[in-house]
Amino acid sequence: MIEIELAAPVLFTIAGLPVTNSMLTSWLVVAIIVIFFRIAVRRAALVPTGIYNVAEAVFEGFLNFMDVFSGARERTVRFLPFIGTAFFYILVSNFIGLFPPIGQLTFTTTAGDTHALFKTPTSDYNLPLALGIIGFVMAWAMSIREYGVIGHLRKYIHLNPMDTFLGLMDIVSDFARIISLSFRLFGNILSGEVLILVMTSLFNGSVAYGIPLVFMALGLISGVVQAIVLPAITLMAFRASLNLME
Amino acid sequence: MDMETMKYLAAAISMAGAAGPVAVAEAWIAQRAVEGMARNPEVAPKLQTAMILGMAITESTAIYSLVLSLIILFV
Repeated sequence: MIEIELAAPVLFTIAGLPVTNSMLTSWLVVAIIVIFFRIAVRRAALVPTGIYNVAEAVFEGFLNFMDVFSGARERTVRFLPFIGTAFFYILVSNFIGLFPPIGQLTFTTTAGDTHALFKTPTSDYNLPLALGIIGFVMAWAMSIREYGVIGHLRKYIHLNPMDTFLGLMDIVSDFARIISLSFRLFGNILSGEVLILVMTSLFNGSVAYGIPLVFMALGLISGVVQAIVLPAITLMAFRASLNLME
Repeated sequence: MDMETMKYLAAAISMAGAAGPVAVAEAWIAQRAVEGMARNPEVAPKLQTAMILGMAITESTAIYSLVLSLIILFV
């Protein structure tokens, strides 16, 4: 049976904090994003050239896409800190599993078992769950800041028992959104990884140079789509929590 | 029938049961989107965006069964 681990293995500990291989890869993803944008911004000019052109094109495309879901550019910019970060973080995390060194390097822990040194961060359920929980907490926190705790609760609890029932269903759907967002991202990326793994080891690895390419392309497409869908749904949740849905 | 066999059967049935209706639903989404694009080509980019997003959300129901199958098999 092919080795597929759902739980990321702990490689080592830093001052008592256990570090798994997906954590290590997510640090690498953050380093790549920060370095890319720092270099791009340093070469900014009125007429964009080179790497700043790429960064601006991607960012502008992302803003235009999110405008469809938020309704106005200034709303997109208002929620950009979480939405933009989530988009680039998920995008680069989904792509990084397809680079040749990732997945090939191994690491032997002090206990003696060997694991891969890097693993796609979004294929570890912790990352999508964290993004879902952060989105939920931010939506409720913004609503509480805007309306106060009483005003926030009054959105769900009314005098009419029928409306209160619907309000409780709204609370359940808020929690269910965490599960659905995280499972969507996790399931898509994990199934892409498992598919590539199975296709690579088909016929004892003799077709490892041709067939997996198709599935890697499929993984690229689904990675981009999932990187767009999670921020879009979170953006609509932010809009709903601040009653900006008109 | 022992536990191992039941686990494999459960994982297979879970995914097989979910894949059929989801495939039909995504085909319907694509059909309506293409019909709309043929009727009104200038709104084709908006329709394409809505189609991709609709397919991603519809697919998530099958993904739930997939995660269930993976948990049954590997956890």
